[in-house]
Amino acid sequence: MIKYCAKRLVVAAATVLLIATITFLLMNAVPGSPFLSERGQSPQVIAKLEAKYGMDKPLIIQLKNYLVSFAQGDMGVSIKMQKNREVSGIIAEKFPVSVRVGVIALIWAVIVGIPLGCLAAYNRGKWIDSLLRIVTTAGVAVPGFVIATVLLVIFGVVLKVLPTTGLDSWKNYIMPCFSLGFYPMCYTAKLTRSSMLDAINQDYIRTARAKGLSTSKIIFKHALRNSLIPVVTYIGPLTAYVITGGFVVETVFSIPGLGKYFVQSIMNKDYPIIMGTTIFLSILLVFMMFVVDIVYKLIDPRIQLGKGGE
Amino acid sequence: MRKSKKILALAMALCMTVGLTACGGNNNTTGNTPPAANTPTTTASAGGSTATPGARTATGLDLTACIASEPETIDPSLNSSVDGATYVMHVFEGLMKYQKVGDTDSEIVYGQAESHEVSDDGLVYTFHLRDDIYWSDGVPVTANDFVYGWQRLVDPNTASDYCYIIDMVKNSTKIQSGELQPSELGIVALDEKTVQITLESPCVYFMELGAFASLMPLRKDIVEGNDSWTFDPATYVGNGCYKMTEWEHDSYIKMVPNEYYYDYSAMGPDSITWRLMDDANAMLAAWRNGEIDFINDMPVDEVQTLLADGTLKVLPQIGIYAVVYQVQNPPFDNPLVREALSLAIDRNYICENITQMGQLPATAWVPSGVGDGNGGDFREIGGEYYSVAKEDYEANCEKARQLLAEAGYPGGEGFPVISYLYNTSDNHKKIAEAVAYMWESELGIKTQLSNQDWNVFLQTREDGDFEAARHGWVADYNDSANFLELWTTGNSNNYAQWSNEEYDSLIAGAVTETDLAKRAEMLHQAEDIVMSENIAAPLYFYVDKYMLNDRVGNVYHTPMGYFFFMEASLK
Repeated sequence: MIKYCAKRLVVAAATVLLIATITFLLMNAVPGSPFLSERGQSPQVIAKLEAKYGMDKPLIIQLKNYLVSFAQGDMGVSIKMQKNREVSGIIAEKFPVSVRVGVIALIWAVIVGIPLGCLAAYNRGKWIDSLLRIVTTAGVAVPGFVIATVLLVIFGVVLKVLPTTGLDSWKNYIMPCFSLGFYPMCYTAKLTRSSMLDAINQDYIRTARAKGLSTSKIIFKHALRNSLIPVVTYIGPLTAYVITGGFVVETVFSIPGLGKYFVQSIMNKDYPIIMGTTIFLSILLVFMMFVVDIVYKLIDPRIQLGKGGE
Repeated sequence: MRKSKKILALAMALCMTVGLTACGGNNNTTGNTPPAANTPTTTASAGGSTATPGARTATGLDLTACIASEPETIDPSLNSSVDGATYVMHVFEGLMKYQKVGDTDSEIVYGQAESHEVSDDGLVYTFHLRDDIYWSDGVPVTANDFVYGWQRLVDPNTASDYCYIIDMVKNSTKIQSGELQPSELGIVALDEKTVQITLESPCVYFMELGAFASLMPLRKDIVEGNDSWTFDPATYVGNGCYKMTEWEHDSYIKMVPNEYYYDYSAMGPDSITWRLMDDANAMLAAWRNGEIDFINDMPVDEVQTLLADGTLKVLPQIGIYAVVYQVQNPPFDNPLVREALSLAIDRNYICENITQMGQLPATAWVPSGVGDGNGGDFREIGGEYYSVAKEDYEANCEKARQLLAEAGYPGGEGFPVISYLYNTSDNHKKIAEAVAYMWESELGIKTQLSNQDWNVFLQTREDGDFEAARHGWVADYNDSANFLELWTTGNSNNYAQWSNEEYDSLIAGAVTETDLAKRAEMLHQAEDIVMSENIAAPLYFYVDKYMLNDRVGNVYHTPMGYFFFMEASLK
């Protein structure tokens, strides 16, 4: 197990390094400079700015400098979005906000999605299955901003029962968490349903039935556990994405989360923030994939970590 | 054994979801620092006079406004945005300031200065500061604070976007290019309360610059060597009427009246909360349910309805939207072609059906409402360069077709497909589509539209790597030179890559001319040249739009796009 973890750690570090390098080269390949403005600075001013932020050196040196400082815990300062503010400070401030919304969204998505999937599989072909199929298909197909905006208009503007901006009270969480979690909930339900149907047709379920076990016991004790593997595979990386902030939902409900920094840093060409957020997300993703692997082993003891499929 | 594994599995799954809250649960209140404790006593070092906090009766108005999302910076020297300048002008005060006049208008009056003299040659300005001016921590404001603030702006190490705004001050350009030290800037503190500024050439709008957001006094002891002084309310010390007490990034900035401000007792809102929002739909929703009193952005689709029911109001803004041509390459090197394209644009259609906000069809390069420096309105005196009356559009098109034929392209025959470049935005796209349609239907010229992200667009346009492109300009100060200077040879905003010796000498002459009537005349001549050459096709003059909750009054505005809330009151 320790050997396995060590191996994973090395692979993880290499992955993050590769992502950092590719991101760095790609963002520099896009034309335009972060220091341009309509107010037309003189070349001297641009040169000073480039020198100040270390952008006057060859790309490869810049990358090396960045990685060395990153390894020492220095992610640089924002050059555009919040001029001269530490990127690590921005992430440390924004991430918790996104986590609060993201985790609630994720919990409701899982808590509702998995039972709904089971329910649909259990009632396969009946009206309840059809109804759930309509809802979940719609949920997967309709973009998040549509759901968010519709909620905003109904509950925020017309009924005026929920606040539309910020995160001041528990009421503020209802709409963003619902919109952020709706897609994962529907997807989880669909995934659970299909893998549950797979599991139900297995021999051991037939054996269980033959032994006279109750249906609910078969579904929740035997079939569910085996049908969870694809769901866990999905939820792992999803966790990383959801807790780092949904850009659209954060924008619609004016939530000061991390989501906008992923998108707007690119539009603003704020290099240190692009690098910081990308590396941060990739570390989270790699970590979640590791957790997923461990969870596999716990759900299904037949899975051998670090052998065969690796 | 199996039980324990199950529990472990459950725990791991829980870790995946819930566990991460722990690492984020705390520490999200960075911007929520309590207001800086003010020591009512003051140091004797700076001025000697003792500061005592003023008295003020609460007005019961806690105003909430949204003028933009998270600002790039609120450092006066580094800021280049309208929203940033608005925050700065509530927290800082320059030698001059904008004061309310009439319903929503403003005028320039003395701010931290109480009087001034100008030398006969118009080159030396001496400002006398008020005695009762203090920073929000109680320290007296001195002439040296102004000297430091101005020097910092032109210091190349500051790398300010707006350093050029005081190019007329002695040695300014040489300091910017690194030839001289910032300390050699033509601004000195004659004593604690007297600032003397020496110019290289007279400047008719210099007094107005006294209120400009980049020219605020700054505290050297706070700013020097601390790049993040603006982020902490404790170090964001200003000398203006309000002071920042909280800044929760991406959420809000909160300000309360500065008890050391000389006019503290007259301040309007008990607090101003600037909501920092990105989404126009969200702003409108929040305005409608009363969470926000003031917004100046709303979804384009809603504008017509809001204008019709009177909730959306518009004010003139000194700015222009135009199409600029790169004049070095064919077919745009031919003035006849440029004129034809300009005449074929139906500006009324664009204002009435696309922008829909009461914008004025543009008849020249310098917008309406700009002063000519000689007491007149530059546009009224300069007149129209072509008619934008609806009934004249057909005649304009007819003339355009003749010009095009004269240029060798009768009916658009043989004219290459041209490209039109704009930065990605729905509004620019709609305008580009309309212009392209007009060119095709009236002149038989086909246009290919292309859009680029803002930063890429800026680079492409500055490099002159386009045929026709969107252009826009909002005034920094109310003077026609601010618009006409853009077309001088080598100006970084001269996207057309146009160069005309006569034009350059007229502008250069106008800058140093002390006879105001002569100066205005030179600027009119310059506009004549740029309009007869049709370097750009002006489309419309900007307006500012806003929505204000009925409970609030006394919000005012400058045509440069700034709104002021310090005098706001409950109706």
